[in-house]
Amino acid sequence: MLDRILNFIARGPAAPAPQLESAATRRELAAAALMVEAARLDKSFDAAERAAIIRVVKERFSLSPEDATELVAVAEQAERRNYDPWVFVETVKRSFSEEEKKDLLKALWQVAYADGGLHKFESYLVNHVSKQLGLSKEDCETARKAAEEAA
Amino acid sequence: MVKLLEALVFKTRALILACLAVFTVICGYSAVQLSLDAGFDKQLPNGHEYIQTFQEYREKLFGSNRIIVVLEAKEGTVWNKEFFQTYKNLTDDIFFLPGVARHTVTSLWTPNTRYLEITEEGIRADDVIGGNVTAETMTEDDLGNIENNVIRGGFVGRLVAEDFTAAMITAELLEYNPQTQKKLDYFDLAAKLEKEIRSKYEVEGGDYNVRIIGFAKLIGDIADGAQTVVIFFIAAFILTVLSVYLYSRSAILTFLPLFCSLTSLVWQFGILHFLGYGLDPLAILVPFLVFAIGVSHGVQQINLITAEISRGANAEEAARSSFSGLLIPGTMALVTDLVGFGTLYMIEIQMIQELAITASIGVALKIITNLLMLPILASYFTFDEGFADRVARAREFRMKIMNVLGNIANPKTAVVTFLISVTLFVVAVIESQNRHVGALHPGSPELKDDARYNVDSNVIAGKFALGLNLLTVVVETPSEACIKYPYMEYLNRFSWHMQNVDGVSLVLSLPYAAKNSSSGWNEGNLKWRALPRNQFALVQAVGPVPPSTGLLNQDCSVLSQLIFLEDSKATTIETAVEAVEQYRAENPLEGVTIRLASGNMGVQAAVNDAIEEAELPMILWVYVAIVALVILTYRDWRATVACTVPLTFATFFGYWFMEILQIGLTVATLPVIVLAVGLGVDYAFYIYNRVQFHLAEGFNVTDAYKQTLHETGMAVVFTAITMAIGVSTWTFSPLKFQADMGLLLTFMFMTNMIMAITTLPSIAVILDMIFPRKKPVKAPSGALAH
Repeated sequence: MLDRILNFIARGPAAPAPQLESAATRRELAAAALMVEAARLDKSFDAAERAAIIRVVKERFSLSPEDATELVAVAEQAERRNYDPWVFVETVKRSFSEEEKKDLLKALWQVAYADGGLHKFESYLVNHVSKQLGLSKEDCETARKAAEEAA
Repeated sequence: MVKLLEALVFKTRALILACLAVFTVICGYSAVQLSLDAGFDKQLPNGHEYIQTFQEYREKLFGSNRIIVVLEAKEGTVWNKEFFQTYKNLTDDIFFLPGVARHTVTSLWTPNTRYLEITEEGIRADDVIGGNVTAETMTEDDLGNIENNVIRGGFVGRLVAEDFTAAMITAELLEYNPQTQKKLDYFDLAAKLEKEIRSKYEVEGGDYNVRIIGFAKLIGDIADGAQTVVIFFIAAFILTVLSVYLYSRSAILTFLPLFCSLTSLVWQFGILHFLGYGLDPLAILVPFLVFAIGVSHGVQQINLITAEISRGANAEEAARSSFSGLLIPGTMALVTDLVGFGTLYMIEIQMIQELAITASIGVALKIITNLLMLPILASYFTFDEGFADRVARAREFRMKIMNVLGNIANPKTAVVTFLISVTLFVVAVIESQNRHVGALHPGSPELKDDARYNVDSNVIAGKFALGLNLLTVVVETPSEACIKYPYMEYLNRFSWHMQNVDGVSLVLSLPYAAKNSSSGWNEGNLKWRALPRNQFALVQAVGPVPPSTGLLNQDCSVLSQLIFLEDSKATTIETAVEAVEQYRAENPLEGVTIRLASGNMGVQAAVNDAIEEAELPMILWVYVAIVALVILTYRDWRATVACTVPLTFATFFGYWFMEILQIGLTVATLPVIVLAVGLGVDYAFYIYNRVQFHLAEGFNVTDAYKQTLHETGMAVVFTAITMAIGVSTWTFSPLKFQADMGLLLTFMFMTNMIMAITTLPSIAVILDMIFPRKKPVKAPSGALAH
């Protein structure tokens, strides 16, 4: 028993098998869920925003259009079931490289700008995610500018 | 199933609200007619051996529901005309009080106070105050005679203070008026004792103090103190409003949980009145507790509604999400509370059973007001962007706290946390072995030491050899046992045995009276102060003792022992009762049955016994309910362990706390302990429900807990702190039992919360270490969901 405890402390807890997101990896799902969260914040998650997220995840994660659509659908469910985005931010923090994090930040800004304007809650969320991921204010601002220009 | 229910509820929300509004109006009308209700018999555990004895002999033996009024001279002694005039008027006033059994009124002025004297001509028995003496015409000689009669009649320490500075009047009360069959109104009597007795005879700058004790006065004082509960209720309400507003940052979301909780109180009071119940002063805090439970569940609702709105949902979406998200843990928690209160019904004391009904109704109604009405009402409101903005800013600070707290679920911290918890638990178990059942302080445990009632009790106990603390042991014998030496000698030894028990101040029994009488027949010679073996001499010795003394009945088949105790502490009563049981077991005599117990201490012993006996089964039933609900919902043994173990720890910490603060397990504190188990599990359910959900989503236990903390952790912490602040104001109450309940509840609210956010995750993590999960985790479901 002691061995088990010591091993557990050394390795950390194992995750039980996931049930819902078999088609998507956990890291991609977390990123997509954050984008959905950003899109929902202005109270209007419309088709344009959904299409923007599908496009972004397809490009970033090199997915087929079907897989990208499925990923976003699963991410929507996951975002609704979780009352706080902590777990998504944490997953990204652990599994994304520094560059990937900056890339995700840019994607989040893109989703936020997808409906033509930037809502202050969307801005708040992206800034919050940036802070939690350990990125600097400059990184965040650079990503925002890039997304704004692209929009 | 939950989704289906959600669709149905929100489709018919207007109709539901209309029905609830009508119900509220009806209950409101009934609620305003609810009044306070108290009774001596309600406090008796009727199935108990002692109470059966008490009920069988209550008409023959007095002393359980008695009032004692003492007139005390501020200066000098009682031996003056003015004192006796006042004493006479006081006796007359007490005689005419409602509920007083007039034949039992005893003072120096009443004709049942007689002395016996052996003279050359034979026995002389006469009234202590002769029939030809009146208060107006009494002379110095009369006073001298009375003093003599009092001393030789043995009334010093019984009706006159040992230092001659006070005189007593005692009277038994009738629970029902024999003519009208109406129940005695104790509050009216208590008010009359204060207005017509104390205020009349104890005036500012006057010569006398009036000391009044007895159940009727006590319950009146408690009711007076209970009036202050309104002040504490208001204080707690304001504090709750402030904290809920600080938490929710919205006037609407502050209004909703408080409005819903108050609504269920209106329903509760209305239904109680419908069912013919009143509100007992000792149970007056229960509605407040039920209100607190309501706010606690309401905060969980507004927590989710706030989270949803701040993430872009509209009011209806947020309300729906909150409804379906909290229906399972909320129902589980409230059902557990319901079972917790319901188990109080196991104590066969009517007052506690009424409390069980009152509280159970209140909690059952919470399921409707908090889990149904609150989200429906919330769906009708609109929330502006400013609100979401305020919430977003508030969340920043809360998340920092939750980030720190979340570290408890890291494996190393979990092990350390668990070890600390177990160590404290072991200490608590050891320390709580010494905890007591019943009162731990002299005087009435319901009131503080410096309350007038307790001051009066102490003065009476100090000046008189007998007080209110009477333990009557009924000895059933063959008839005419009082003139048969073997029986009298047996009882004599029993009296002597009891006389030498710690805490016993005086024993009155027939053998003692007969020995005195025998000595009296023989010129007061101490050598004759013994029980005559000759039956005829025994007849002569017993003859002068009338049945009205309560020491024997007409045919000498019941010979009682009146045992006066120094105080009403549980330990004192227990020692005396054990001594009786020991004597009974070691010295059986054919034809003699020693029966416990009558007198108010006998009743108290039975109450203490009933509480002690019922406590374990009650707690076990609450645990059975918790385990059943957890298994039904989570179908996971880990959930059962993770939810119940922290609860057990918290319960023993509560016992330890009671031991440290010298709070006994009484009629007032037992519901708190049982309720605390129910309330404690609320936190565990709200937390474990989300942990299980995230485990089902494939997160490891550490991440599942951290995510849970971000979702619901702050609401749990906040609820406990709000409730603790609210009930902590009770500590300033003039009623000791209320102050004790306040202290204990504050401690239990906080401890249960701390256990739920520290020990619960540490156990969940450790269980995963020792027994790694082999199968995917199921989301909270089972019979209660989906």
